Amino acid sequence: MSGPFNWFEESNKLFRNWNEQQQAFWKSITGQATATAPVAPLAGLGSSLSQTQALWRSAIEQWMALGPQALGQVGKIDELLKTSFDPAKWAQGSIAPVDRAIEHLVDGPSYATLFTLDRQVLRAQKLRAEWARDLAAYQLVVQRAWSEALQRFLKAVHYDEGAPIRTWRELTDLWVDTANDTLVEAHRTPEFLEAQRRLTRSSTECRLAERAIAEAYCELNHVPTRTEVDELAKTVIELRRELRALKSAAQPAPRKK
Amino acid sequence: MPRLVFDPAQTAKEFAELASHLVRGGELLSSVKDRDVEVGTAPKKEVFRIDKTTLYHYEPVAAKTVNVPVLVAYGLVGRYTMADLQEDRSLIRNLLAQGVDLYAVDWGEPSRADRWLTLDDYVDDYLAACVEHICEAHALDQITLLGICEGGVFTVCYAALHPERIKNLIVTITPIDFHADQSGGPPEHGFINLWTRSLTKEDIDRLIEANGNLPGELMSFVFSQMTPLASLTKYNLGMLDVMDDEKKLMNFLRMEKWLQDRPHHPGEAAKQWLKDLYQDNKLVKNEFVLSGRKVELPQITMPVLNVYAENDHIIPPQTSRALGDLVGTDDYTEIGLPGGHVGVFVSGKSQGVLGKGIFEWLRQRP
Repeated sequence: MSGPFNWFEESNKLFRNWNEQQQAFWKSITGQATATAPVAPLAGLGSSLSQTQALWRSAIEQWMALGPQALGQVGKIDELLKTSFDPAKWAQGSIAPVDRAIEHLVDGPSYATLFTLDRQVLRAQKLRAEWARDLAAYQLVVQRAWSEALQRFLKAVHYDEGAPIRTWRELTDLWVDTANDTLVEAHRTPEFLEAQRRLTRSSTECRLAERAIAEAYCELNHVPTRTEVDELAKTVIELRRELRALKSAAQPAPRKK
Repeated sequence: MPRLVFDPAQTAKEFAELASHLVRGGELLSSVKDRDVEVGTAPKKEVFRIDKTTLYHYEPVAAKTVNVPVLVAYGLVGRYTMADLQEDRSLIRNLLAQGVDLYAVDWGEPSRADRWLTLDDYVDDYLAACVEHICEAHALDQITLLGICEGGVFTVCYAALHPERIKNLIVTITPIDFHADQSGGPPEHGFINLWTRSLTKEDIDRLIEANGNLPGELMSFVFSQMTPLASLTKYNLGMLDVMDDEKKLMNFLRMEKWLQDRPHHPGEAAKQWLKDLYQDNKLVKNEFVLSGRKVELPQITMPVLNVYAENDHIIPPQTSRALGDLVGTDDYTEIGLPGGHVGVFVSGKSQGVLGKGIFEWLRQRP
């Protein structure tokens, strides 16, 4: 039989063991060679501690096996980090793995009593990200048009034949005319029309998603919703139509030629 | 060789002139109050009302020269007061001065509660009720309709559905063939046609669902895109040009007041306007349905006067002039006036020309 049980010493051993196994786990996640952490069985705390240790080791080994498989769907960590720190990706207002997670929650199966408001909030978040993307795309098209206008203006001032420009007003008028013509051309291009259409649509969808959230809170708090008021207005309009039709039918026929 | 010629003396002179211009203009602008800027001031009285629609009868200022009263119908995109912007720029006053008995319909200020109103309501209920009221008040069988822009489409539809009620039909700056912009024209013409066709039907439905109506602010934005730099420079360059001339400044401010007063377009009516007319062009195909009946333009058998603006970037002339080939009357007259969409009504150059042209045409058709 070994010496008297020392709680502190045995706790330290347990902690060291746990620590080594955590390190092994994280090494496997980051793609480095899996280290099999040697674990010395603890002595002194009896079979329950041994069982705990064995259970913990088994759990770690299973996680280590699952880790690469799970992350294979998300992407490597280093690539994920690179994406997070890429300014070009910031303009898109999202990170692809996060997007996919939200998309799964929003578009995945719905449950009777789970996550209703959460899904609405996440959906609004998703739509807001799409709106931000469409806004950036629209601004890019508009910015190209302004750059083109500036190029044409500078060419007109410096290289083109024409009457001398002697006053600030003449110079301003030349800029206004050049920029106007360029923007009018740009507004008629399929790229601009599509960019504006998408922006209009995504801002509309954001607004509708916000309304859905507002209506969820209204219903919780016994307040009439926008949808209910619209339905009421529709009923009133329809009743008015019927009333006018009845009045018209009841009146004598108007004078006709 | 660069065109820019820098002359220090010239530049200094310009700067001095600009400075004194700004001082004079600043003093004038600071003396103007909002209550001084009035539009639609020709005296009139309310004679009939149905829901938010009001029928006004203008007070005569001259002996009657035309027997049949004229009902002016503007559209839902903008307010009817454009036809009576100020005393010396007013089609209403010009016609009154020539002895025309004049009415105007005001559609009111649609709110979200009006989102379910359709063009059927506006043409076959509200406009029809105004026509009946005038007929009853004057013991007449028929009146003359004068439609402006979308109001012209209303009057065309009414005249096609109820030709027995209309003596003469006058339409001004009115779109009939909403796809005729594709046949050519200056690049700054017809942007609304292009913009509307770029939307899907679902885009329009969702837009209306989100807003209830077609927001006035959105239409203002689309209009401003048609003259982008004029819109951007209106309050610096545009106002700078007029701010030290009281008459020009007040005209500018009245236009601003009218432009600011852009009502929302009831949602269901907007869907018909954008989808049935702008996108599907049903009117020229005689496929446009109101109150369960097809609007057939050959049913327009009364005399028709079609006034269009030659430089109309909002309603390109060819979209208006298409009416001539579609109506069932031989008495069809066109008047093309120089100027833009609103310019034919409010510019100094066109004053008298439009009113005189309409009056002379009416006098020949008592």
